Amino acid sequence: MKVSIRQIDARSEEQVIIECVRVTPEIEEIRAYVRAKGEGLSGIADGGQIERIELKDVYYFEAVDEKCFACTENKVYEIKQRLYEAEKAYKHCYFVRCSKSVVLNLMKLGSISPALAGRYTAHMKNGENLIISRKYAPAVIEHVLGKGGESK
Amino acid sequence: MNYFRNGGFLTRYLIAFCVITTGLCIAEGVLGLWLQPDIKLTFGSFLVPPAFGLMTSLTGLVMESRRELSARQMLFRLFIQLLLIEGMVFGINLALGYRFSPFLAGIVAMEVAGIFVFVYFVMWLNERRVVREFNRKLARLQEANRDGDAE
Repeated sequence: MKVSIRQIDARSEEQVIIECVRVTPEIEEIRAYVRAKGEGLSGIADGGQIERIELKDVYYFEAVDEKCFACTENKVYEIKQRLYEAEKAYKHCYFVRCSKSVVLNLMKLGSISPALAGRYTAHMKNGENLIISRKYAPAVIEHVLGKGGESK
Repeated sequence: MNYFRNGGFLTRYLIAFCVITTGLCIAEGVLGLWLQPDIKLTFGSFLVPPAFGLMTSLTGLVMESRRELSARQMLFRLFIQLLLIEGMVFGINLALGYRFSPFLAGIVAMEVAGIFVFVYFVMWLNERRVVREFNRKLARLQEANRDGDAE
């Protein structure tokens, strides 16, 4: 496949055009990858100011009392999306639901360890520990190991 | 939905059933030879461990919940499950007219608790195996993603 890069002046005009005969899963993967790069969202910080958050900096999304928060390494932002919307929107960026109220970023996950009776503890890279509930554990594991234990 | 996938619902119950059945066979053999070596059993007795295995693994349903349980709630339900199994074992024996002496009742209660702990230990070993594989592949996935970023 040929790859060409054309430099332009305006950042707002930056785009990636994929020219293909058929939209294959590989093409979808490239699209998802491109979409994920530099993707960001707006969040309300502690002081009430609206800040831009890079999606790759988000460790997890958490829903608390009808509100949804994006947690980065050491900051928490309130976001406008609902948890299920964030889960759906950022699925392609390795965000996966680990419990009823948390969607975690697999790229910020350090490791997991078995907890009690089918539950797991997710050790995030910033030192926080999250619970992977029994209900969502198979989906989280499958996301990394793939169906039938094959790697992605 | 694949119930047999890693950490899946049926995988857990199948592991529990197999471990309980094996544990019962071993425990009955060892304790039977020790405490009542004169008793001769029929072929029907082969069916007792799988029957108890099936019934007791089904008590694992007390751990299922629509809500997400806290660690304390999980522990409480584990205790309830153990009580259910003990009650089932003694209840069925009582219904069949078998009365345990206090000494034998204590041995059986401990045997049941031992198998209960063993089942969860084996399940934990299985989870640890899955976790090890998961962590290995997660590191590889993150590495691949980092390479993609660097290019």
